Amino acid sequence: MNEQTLLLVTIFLPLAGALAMLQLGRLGQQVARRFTLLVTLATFAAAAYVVAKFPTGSSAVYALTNVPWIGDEGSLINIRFQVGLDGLGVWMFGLSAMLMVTAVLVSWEAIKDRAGLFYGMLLLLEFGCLGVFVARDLMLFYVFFEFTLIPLFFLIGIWGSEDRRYAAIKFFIFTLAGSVLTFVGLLAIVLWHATNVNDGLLTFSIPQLTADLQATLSAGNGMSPTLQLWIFAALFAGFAIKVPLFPVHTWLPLAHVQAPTAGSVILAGILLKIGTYGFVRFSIPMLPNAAAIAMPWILWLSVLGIVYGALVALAQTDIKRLIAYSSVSHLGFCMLGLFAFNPLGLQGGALQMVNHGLSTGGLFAIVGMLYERYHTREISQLGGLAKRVPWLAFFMLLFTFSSIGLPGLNGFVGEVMVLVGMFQTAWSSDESQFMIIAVLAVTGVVLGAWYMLWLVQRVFFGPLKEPSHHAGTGHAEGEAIIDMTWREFFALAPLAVFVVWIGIQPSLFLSRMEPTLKTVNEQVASQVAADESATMADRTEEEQETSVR
Amino acid sequence: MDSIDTLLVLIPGLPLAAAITVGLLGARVLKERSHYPVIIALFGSFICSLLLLGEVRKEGESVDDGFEHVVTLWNWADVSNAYELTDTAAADVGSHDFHIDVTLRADALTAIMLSMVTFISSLVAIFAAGYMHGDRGYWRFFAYIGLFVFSMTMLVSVSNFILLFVFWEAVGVCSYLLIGFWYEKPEAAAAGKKAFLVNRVGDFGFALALFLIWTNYGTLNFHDTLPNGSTDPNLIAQVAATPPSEEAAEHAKPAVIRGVLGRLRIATNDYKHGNIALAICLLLLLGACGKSAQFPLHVWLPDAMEGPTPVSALIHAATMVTAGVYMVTRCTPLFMASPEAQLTVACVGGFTALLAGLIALTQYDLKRVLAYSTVSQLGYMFLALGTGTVVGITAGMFHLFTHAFFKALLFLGAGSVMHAMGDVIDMRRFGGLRKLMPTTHATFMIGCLALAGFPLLSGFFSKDSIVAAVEERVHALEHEHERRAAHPVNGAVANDAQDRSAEVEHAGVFALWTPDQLDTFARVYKWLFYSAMFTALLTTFYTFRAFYLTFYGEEVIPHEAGHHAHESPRMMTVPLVVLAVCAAVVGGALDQTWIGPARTHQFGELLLQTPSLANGPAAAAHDAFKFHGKIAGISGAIALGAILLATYLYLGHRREIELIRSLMDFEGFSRWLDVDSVSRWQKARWIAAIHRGATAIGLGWLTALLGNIVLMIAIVLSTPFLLGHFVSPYKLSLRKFFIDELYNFVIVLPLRVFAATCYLVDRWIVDGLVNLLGKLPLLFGNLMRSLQMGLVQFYALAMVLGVVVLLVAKAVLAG
Repeated sequence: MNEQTLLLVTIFLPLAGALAMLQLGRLGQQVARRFTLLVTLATFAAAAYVVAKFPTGSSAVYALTNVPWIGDEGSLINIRFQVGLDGLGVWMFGLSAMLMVTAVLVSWEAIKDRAGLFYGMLLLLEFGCLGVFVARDLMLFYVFFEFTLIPLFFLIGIWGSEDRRYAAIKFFIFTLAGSVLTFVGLLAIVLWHATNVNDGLLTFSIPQLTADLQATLSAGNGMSPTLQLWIFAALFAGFAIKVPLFPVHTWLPLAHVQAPTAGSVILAGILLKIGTYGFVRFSIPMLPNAAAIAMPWILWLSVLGIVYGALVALAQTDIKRLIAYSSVSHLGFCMLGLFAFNPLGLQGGALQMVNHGLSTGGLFAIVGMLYERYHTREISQLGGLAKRVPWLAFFMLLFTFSSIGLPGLNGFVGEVMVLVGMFQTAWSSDESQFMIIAVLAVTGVVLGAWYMLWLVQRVFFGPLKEPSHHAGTGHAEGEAIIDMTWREFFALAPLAVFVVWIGIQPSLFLSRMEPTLKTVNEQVASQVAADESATMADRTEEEQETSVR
Repeated sequence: MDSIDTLLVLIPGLPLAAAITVGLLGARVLKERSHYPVIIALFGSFICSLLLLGEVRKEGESVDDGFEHVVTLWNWADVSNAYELTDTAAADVGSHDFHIDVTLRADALTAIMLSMVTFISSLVAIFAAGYMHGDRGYWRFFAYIGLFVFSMTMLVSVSNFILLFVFWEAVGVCSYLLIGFWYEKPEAAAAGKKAFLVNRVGDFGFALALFLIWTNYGTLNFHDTLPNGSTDPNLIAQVAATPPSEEAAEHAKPAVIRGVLGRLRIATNDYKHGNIALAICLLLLLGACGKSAQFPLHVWLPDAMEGPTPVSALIHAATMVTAGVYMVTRCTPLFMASPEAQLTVACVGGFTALLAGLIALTQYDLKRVLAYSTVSQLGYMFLALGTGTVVGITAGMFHLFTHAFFKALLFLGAGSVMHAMGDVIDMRRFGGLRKLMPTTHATFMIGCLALAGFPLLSGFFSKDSIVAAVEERVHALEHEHERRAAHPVNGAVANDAQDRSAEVEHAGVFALWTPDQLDTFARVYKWLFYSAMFTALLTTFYTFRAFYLTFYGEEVIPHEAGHHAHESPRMMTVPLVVLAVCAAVVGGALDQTWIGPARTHQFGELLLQTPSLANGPAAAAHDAFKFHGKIAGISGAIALGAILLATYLYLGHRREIELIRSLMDFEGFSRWLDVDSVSRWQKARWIAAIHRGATAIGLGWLTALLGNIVLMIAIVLSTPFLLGHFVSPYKLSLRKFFIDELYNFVIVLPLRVFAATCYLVDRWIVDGLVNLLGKLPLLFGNLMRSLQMGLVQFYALAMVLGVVVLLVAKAVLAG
């Protein structure tokens, strides 16, 4: 099987599974979960193979399939089924396939009610997630994008905790409102392209749009900065909510706390990254001038998110909400790197997307495991659990260390690259605000260690403290609590392997991202440089004029 | 050369392999035998380190500018053209790759550190096999120890700032895990977190320093490399010798990436000066302060004593806490570029030494006394490094080396006591143990004498050379100042170019200094000299206080010890004896200048083979190591005097020391001005009689008024003394100058309150605003309600229709 076919198989296997689940779902929980595990494992295997084959040192799209979907070359509307992997998407693609296995394993016992529907939704979600990172056509991207939204809405709304309705609706309205604006923005790009470049023909191909917009900008007849800013703002609305950037993050803690464990794992691990991915895929390369203008603002929002998210996390009493706020802080690092506009920051930010998926995905999975045992997530009700569940404590510590950027694990690599990148920007700029941003971001590292280690200290260390009644288990105190099962071990072990691997040999992962991100960086850099030289030229012209007068 | 490669990999590799073995097999297979792999591995590492030391020494003798050898293991990260350096030395201009290899280096500094670390850790591991026997987490303990030794050996042998940072934090994690080893104890869990967080504050500075180094030097490697990462010295020399071709213009990459501490850069002394150098050094110092527990980040180390005692001996006395000293020594060329930074290092060190010495005077926890003593001795090391002379740096490293032996000995001795006393460590609860534990007593005494600087024991030589280095520094500065005062032209710009260059030659390291600077610096160093002398007195006194409280006086044994209080098993006493022998002789054996002028400072000569110390301005100003008879005499006298004082005060009935304590606590004063006692006067018979008499003749109001006035005066006067009740010198020392409380009230609590406020703001205001924004479309939607019928198909249709209309309109317009 060649790589194109395999990539297609990877994407459509979950969809096929979801359709099969319509029938299989009736046969009960046991069949549903086993079948879903099988499908996700097969998808993971296929995805792993494709990712492993992904070449280094080339920015070309790998395993590209490009066939007409709606309309064709030369017709008014040309929407194509165009999928393929590049350096930006490849690790997120692999991560999605991997986290889905974890998601199935953590739902194994937790989901008893309407299991068939649950697993069907999960598979549909996987289809959307995988698709988003491979789509090379705007319309296709948007379709997959929406496919991630609806299943998660149901996952939260049906299988969530007490407040699930409110959380689901809030999540849905926030992201939908954002994504509608994003859609308008994307359409505007297509329309501008059709009018000014493509003889009125509508093309949705992302590579073509990017290339043409770049070319027109270089040729001097590109989109005006004002229009760029408007479109940038429209895209920003959707992506910023998704990331989420401060201050539109408030849906996230709510959704996380109410979502079932699998939902949280996927939401934190993958869906948030669609926002950052969108920035790098669309906003930055297609609208470089607007991105350059917006850069200080976005950097400020990111660093505010870092510090603010960390502080709010410090004040939490619910484990899950604490980790949710830590996501706000960590995604701030991602955005900081991406908008530092240099190779280090960009690569660091992109790596941090994967890192956050691994560590926070793992942390949410562990919180779910604790909840299954104790039916509480209140920090004050738990304590000293390292004695009762040593293996869970071990994994908790590992993912905590990963999350606080401990050297030797993955988080450190991303953080250090982001910060060095940000620092470079600050150092070479005359404006002191960038230096303030860089230093504030580094304080986020200290705060991050504080809230995470404090959490571990309160929940896992100290004298043993368990809720007096394990609601509903009916067992005598302490009897029902067992350490990690093999199922749980296999849910976390793959994540742990990558946490260590990326930390020890990041070059393996970076070298596959570098070519693509380098192109992105060069595109922005050339535009920004052109902008600067243009203003310089203007100034000299003016000066000359005045001197002539 | 190949043997060096193998040794460099084996030294950290063996402990790592042991840690993994124990980690995987410990719980089920090895159990009570978990110490075997670790002890064998550590001992193997020690042998390798000795071999490496021999190789390095042999190679170093044939080279002038120091010997270094670098092994590249694998590429860690490589981002090409990550940064373009412009405003810097011409040789560095160009685009730089963020090219980080996992590289290990062999040079004298590394080899010395490696030998010390592996030797101490082998002995501690043997001791721990006895000490931890029967603990529930026996295998876990040895897995952590293996991991720690791996991280520590890596820390001293990596050749790159990023990796230095990596292992810098890795030893921090091992420390975190081992402090919190008995995690059921809330104090242990809290202490682990505190240690990690305080270190994170230090690392905050370290990280910023790294960023500054990267943006200023375009590399983070210690050594020189070619752009492709090759470290072959011959090739580098060849490329460096070739003049740059014309095409290698502005934007090309530099032909050789000159490492931050590489030979090429040191040879030309091409370092940034001024504020940038100062900023880099101060930030590095902040990192070093975190790891080496210097003021103001020293607060974690005493709490770290919650961990098992062998850990305190290994990590929190002998090895990890010296990482800061190692780092500053390693970065000597950077610090040489900024005299202000050197002075700061010296001041931080001198002040910490004094502060910790004062606190140690009154502590009752034997391990905490030793912990503060460690902080204090580390302060000495920083003071020595802060002199910025080769003599000073050698003295600092030498003290690090000898301190490792006697402090590990003292901690293990304390562990032996704890072991016998059923884990009681409060010196008020035991005493007179010398007959019960003769070996521990004898070895502990040698440790105390060495720490006190008793003549001819190792602490004597190293501490003496630190004080001597400070004094020498004062002399040099004063001399230069006087010389300039005598020849005023020298300080200002010289007219004659030749004269100027001769001047620079003569002034050497002081060439760039102004006379004012010389004057101020000389004065500050002089104060530091006196403070160091005084601290030496304190050191001796508190050491012997603890010694006498533990081993002399009436024999007291706490009930926790049960009936089986006895000397520790041989597995624990043998390491004590070995360490005691080392603590006694290692100083005199390695610094032989005291025997006669013909003998050399063996340790110093070896250390000076390190490239960053063998060349550059510091090395240029250095001639030979000398023995300072005068200083040695003074400090020997101080040590003897303080030992006698402690003996007088603590041997016997200890009445005098009670008196001193009450004096220092202002006990007498506060009683006289106590408001209660003043108001009690009223009831005293003769005063009451006067009052009654006065009332009888109608003057009661007068006496009452007088009484009230006296009371008022008493209240006013007693306020400072009431305050003195809390902040008397004794209380200040006992409560560690309230620094922990200060941090709690100034940083921790406000931040937590702020965090809670942020959460409230997030919950009600930010979310509220966003919700409000969400309501706007709803209002708008009410207007459009007529269109709303709840059929999804209708919406979809409307959407598609809308798009089609748009497209058609557009197409028509465009056409």
